[in-house]
Amino acid sequence: MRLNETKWMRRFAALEPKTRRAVRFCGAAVVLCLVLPLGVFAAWDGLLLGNPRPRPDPEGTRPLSDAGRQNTTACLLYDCAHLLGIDPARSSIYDGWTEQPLEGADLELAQARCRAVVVEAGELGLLESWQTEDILDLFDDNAYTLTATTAPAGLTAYTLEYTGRPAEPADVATPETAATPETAQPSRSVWLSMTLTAEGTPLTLSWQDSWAPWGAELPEDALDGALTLMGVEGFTDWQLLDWSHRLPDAGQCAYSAQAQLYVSVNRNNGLSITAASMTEAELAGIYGEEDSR
Amino acid sequence: MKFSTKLSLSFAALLAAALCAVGLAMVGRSFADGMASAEETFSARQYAEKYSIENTILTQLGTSGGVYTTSAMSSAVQSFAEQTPGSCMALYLDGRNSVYSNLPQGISRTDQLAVLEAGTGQSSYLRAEGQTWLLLTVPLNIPGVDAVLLSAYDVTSVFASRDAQLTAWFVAAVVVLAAGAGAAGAVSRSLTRPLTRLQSASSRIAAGDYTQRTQVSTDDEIGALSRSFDEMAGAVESRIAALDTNVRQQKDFIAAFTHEIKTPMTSMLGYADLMRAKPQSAETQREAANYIFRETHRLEELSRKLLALMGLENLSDGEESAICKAPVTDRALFARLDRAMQTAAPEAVPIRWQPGGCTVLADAALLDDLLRNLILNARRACAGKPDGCVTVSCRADGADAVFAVQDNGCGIPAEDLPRVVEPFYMVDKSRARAGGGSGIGLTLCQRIAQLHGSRLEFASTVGQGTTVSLRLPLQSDLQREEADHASE
Repeated sequence: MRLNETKWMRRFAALEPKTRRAVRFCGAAVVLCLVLPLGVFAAWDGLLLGNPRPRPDPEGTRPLSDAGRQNTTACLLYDCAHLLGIDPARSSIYDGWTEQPLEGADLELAQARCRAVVVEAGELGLLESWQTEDILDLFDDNAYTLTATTAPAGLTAYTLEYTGRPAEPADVATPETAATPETAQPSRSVWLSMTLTAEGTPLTLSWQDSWAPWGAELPEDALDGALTLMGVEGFTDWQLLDWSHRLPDAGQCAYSAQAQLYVSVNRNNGLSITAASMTEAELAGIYGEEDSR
Repeated sequence: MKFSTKLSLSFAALLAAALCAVGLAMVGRSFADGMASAEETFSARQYAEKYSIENTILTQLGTSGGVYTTSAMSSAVQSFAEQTPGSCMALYLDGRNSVYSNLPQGISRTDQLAVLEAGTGQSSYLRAEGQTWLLLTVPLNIPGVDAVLLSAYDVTSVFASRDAQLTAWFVAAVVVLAAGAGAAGAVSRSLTRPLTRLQSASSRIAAGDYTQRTQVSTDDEIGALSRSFDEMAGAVESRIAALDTNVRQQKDFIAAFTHEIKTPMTSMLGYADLMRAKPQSAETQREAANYIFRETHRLEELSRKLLALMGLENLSDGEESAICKAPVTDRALFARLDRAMQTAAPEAVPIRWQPGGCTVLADAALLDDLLRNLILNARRACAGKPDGCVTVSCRADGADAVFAVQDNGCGIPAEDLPRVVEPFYMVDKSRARAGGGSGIGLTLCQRIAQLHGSRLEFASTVGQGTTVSLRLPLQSDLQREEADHASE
């Protein structure tokens, strides 16, 4: 090998200076071209290692925003829709909920939680004052039934049912003024249901009273009150939706992309507040393109 | 530097650059695709793990009043990890608190916090303990809890595959470069071999060997260059030969001229010295004076003809612009010559004129000189012959007019015929000098014939006579009429 190297070196030294220069330059270019990929990939590794970059989201995922995740109500509704398969508005045992017996302390607790929600709803203007008192009076009437079902994530759904004929006033109860079929007041049915989180925040609230008119006018700030009631008023991207040209009695509706929540409030036969977790695409797919303001 | 060396080096450099580009593109593309595939696969896997963990936490813990304690969540994640072989994950609460981790030891807490600080929904690569890990973070949707799942997935195989491809490329590139450079050298030397022969031939020609030729017969630009070079070499060789001939002829001319001058000068000097040295008899003085006069006249005639010859030598052969050509009829020409001959030497050998009615385009004065010289030579050849006669004729022969001067004199030996037009060549010098010949008359006539695009032709028989002929193209009828009008 040494002899060959000497021979090549002698041949190289015998070349003209210009040729030697050209050979050196060409050799350097060849070596550079061979080494360049190694350098490039080493640099590539240097850029990769330790430098975070956005990760891909698998197809089909609908990540909830950080703001939505930090809100208990939005996070819980998101989990119900995408993870647990639970609809807070459908809380019967046939929907997968578990019946919870209400006796003793549990009953008192349930009543207290329901009263608290009703009072707060009245304070937020979702119920008239006399409506609030009327509902609270029902809890003092033993003619109602209160049931509870539970679901994962600490959800509890309460349902109060009342059916009865209001008592006639005692001071005017005479044979002549006794109720007759012509003067007797009709029976009354009241349905109050709500789904509460472990903290007592309502995810849904529905009050149906057969004596209440259908499609009563909502106060202008009814939607704000509903959002506050559910604890999602902090999102800044609520977008009001106008379904009036399709659903005259749709009430007031809004959507937030941060929270991935659709909320609606209406006074059909009472009061109904519902919320559902969905993406903008799902909203458009269900309800079509609507005016927003 | 040799052209073949330039070609070889350029090819090698270009080949190396191409191999580099191809290697970077292919290996890089493969590596990028591998990483993207790994990220996509492991991202989907982590989301599945996330959903499963969230379900576990919400389902198992939520029923107990929705209280998500740290220990309970940690246990849920641990339980999931133990049931999933190969999973490496850590659960962080509130951004910095690790409540569970089964990540490899090589992934330090510092590295983990750095990934978390980059924000949720991020990915990072980390090299630890000889392995390469893909770290993915994803937040858990647990109400009221800031929980982040940090998962680590082994992507060493992706990098190992890339390194293997890179090694294979490197080996292949070295082999291809070596083979390519060798082939390029051989091909370039083969392609430039004609140039080497061209250079070698041009060196030998520069050294004086004008017979060298490249003899390259390829059908490309080099072949065309070689053919042009060979043509140039041939032209140079011919030119050199012509120059050599010209130089030799000039030397011979000077030598002959010098000799022609020297011989009469020596005699003239001798006779003049004789007359100067001592008184001589009247007869001797007359003889000397006659000799001096005769030789002086001959030298004068010689100088006149030399001047004429030198003037004609500067003109190009056959060029129309070299001489003043005009239509000339043989009758007019013969008439002028006859008058001149009668005036000069009326008692000399008779001349018979036989015009043929031909008209040629020629310089009348030069043609006159040519015929006059031929006639004088013919008369000298017939000198002393009682029935000596010179015939000057012109006849049409096809498209040409043939002028001929024929005598019945002494004739010219056959071996002397090719040399009679050489300057100062005389068959019989003493006889020619005695008749006033200078030795350059036929040289002058031949030059005049060359200027007209023709040449003298000699036919002779010793003892019977000589015929000298000249061919000139005939002219059209119109030009003949113009010539007749001009002669009138």
